[in-house]
Amino acid sequence: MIQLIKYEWKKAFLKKTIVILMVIFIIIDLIKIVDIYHKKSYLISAGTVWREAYWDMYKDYNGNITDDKIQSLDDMYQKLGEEVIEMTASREMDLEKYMTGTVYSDYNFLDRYYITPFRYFALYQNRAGEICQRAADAASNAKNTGNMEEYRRNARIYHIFKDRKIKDFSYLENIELFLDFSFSDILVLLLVLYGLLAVYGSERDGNMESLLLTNKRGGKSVQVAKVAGAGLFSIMVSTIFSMVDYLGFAFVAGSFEGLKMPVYAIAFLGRSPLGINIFQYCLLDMAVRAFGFLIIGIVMLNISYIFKNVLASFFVGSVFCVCISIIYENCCHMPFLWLKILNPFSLVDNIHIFENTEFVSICGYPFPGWQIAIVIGGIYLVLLIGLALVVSKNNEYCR
Amino acid sequence: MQIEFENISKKYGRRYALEHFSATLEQGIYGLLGANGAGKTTLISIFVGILKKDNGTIRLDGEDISKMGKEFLGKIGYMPQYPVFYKDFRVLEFLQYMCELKGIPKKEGTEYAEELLEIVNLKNDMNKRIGALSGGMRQRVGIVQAMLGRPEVLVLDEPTAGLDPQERIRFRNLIARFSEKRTILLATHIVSDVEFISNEVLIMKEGRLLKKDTTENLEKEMTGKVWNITLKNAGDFGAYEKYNISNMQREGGNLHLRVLSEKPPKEEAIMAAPNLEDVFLYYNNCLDGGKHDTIN
Repeated sequence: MIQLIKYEWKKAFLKKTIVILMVIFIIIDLIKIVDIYHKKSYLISAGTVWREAYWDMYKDYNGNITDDKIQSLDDMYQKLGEEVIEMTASREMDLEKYMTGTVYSDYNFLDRYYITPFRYFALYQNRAGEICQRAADAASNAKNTGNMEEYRRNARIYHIFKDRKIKDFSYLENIELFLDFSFSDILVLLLVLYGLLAVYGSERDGNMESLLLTNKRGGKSVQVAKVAGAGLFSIMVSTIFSMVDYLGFAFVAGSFEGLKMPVYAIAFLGRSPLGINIFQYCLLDMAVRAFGFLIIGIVMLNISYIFKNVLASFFVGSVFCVCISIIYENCCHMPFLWLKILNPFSLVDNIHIFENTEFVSICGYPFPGWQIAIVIGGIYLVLLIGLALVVSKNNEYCR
Repeated sequence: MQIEFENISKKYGRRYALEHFSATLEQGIYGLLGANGAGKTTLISIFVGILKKDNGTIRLDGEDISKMGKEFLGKIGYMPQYPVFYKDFRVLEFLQYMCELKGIPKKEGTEYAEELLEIVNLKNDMNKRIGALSGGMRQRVGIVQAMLGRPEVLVLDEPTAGLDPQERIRFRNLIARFSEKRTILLATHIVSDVEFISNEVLIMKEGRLLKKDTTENLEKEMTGKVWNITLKNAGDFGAYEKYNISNMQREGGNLHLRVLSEKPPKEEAIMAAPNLEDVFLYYNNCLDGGKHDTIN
């Protein structure tokens, strides 16, 4: 079977056009990453002075958050605040007096890159504590009224947020931009479409479909190999682009900092149910995304089988991808969790299933929404693979 | 080795693609001759299991092949019409893939593939990409892949389609070479493909088997039905349009016709020795316009 998978891979995916397209898409992705970084990071757009100032200060303030560091930052910030409040200070560049050239620039720089994140990190424990308290109160009330479902849900929230604390300060901008970056989803989708929609069409066009069926292993075995090959291709492309994205942002920022920080240190993941560190989260994100593309890949494979014409396959496949992504984008901020997790695109653009602590109630027991999304994805995968194997042709004498 | 077709039928809507086909084949080369749409590919597709028959039984040495499962696939080698294969595969690599599909161990399969490539004169091209091969070379790769499993039955569907005369002759010779201790079923609409190498020819038309016999017997039956006529005036041709004309040749101002007719079409007509092409034309364009339901 390994050999058959190897040949299926060579047949369908080890083609010059796919390799060239992948290289082109990687370049486009990197260009987009640089563009995003320039637009959203002041460390780049405001010139090198901000970048130098940041990393200069970073040596003193990264790592363990101490009272001394907080005080020192506060003193700096207060002093700058007094200077800028009248809006009459000089706007002439003076790099000897100010880190970034002017008092206004220093104030904004400090606010954005040190004060705000420090405040968030330092106060997170209080916020988590408040959530715990509310959950504990709600659980107690629910228990008293006999609403066990609500009791269990709030008990889980309590345990998730209990003891949450951000002890260290670290540079996280590149990781925030990386996790918020979904442009490469389109590129991966296009590659998966292009690679998979011609899998069966090319067999038909080359008159190989009938020849395969006249061989002992040309029926179901080839089908299994095609499914496995398609799955591996989808996973590979997704993983490559996940790594390109992360490395792209890291190299543009010039930093691999922050991987040991807890995932809730990222502001938009502050309410995430995950208690893992950012490195583990990046791996989870990559794996779940690859799983999402695996499902989409097998859908494309089935479409390739159903439609004899490659163009028709491409059209239907494209419509499918556009529909699930548009529906998802419109539903991902709605409170109806099922709308999100039933859509396989939730696994691809998975930030929205990890950013909030949401539960799905099954038989009165709460299950994290992201876990149910993965289970639903697994069900889709089993059904799709089953469909691919059941409907595939076999020799008349081997039924 | 005996293949028995018993009452095989295949219908599409109300039209028969194959109608009550019955024949018994022993070892040797059998030419399945018929025009486009005669049912040759339908018969072959049913035989190799890629098309479901509506009725009938096919037996191999007395055993119903529908009950043999994969064992039957191990006994046949098949070459489809107009195979393109995989353009990015190298020749030997493609044959190794076919070995994998046939369940042949890689080492053994590669050695045999190289032997076969030597026979078909492609040994020096085994590392070329299939996309870079000419049509004739690709057809030779086709017959090699069909032979890989040392099949007892070789089924070739229009194997010389698109080949030039030299390649066609080469291919014919290869088929003859591979026919030792084997049954070869060769479907074609090109008479010369089967004329010189077939043990028997099966002539099909509109899904029915019209004739099954040796080339010699079929030609003998046409004795007295093939006539050569020379027209000194081309304008006289109109009188012979109603006949089946198997050949027409202009020589200077004369027009030489080869006409199929039960009786001499003209007093000066000279009886000619029939060939298989005459037989094919005769049975595909019957004078009586009716059906030939009997076979030898």
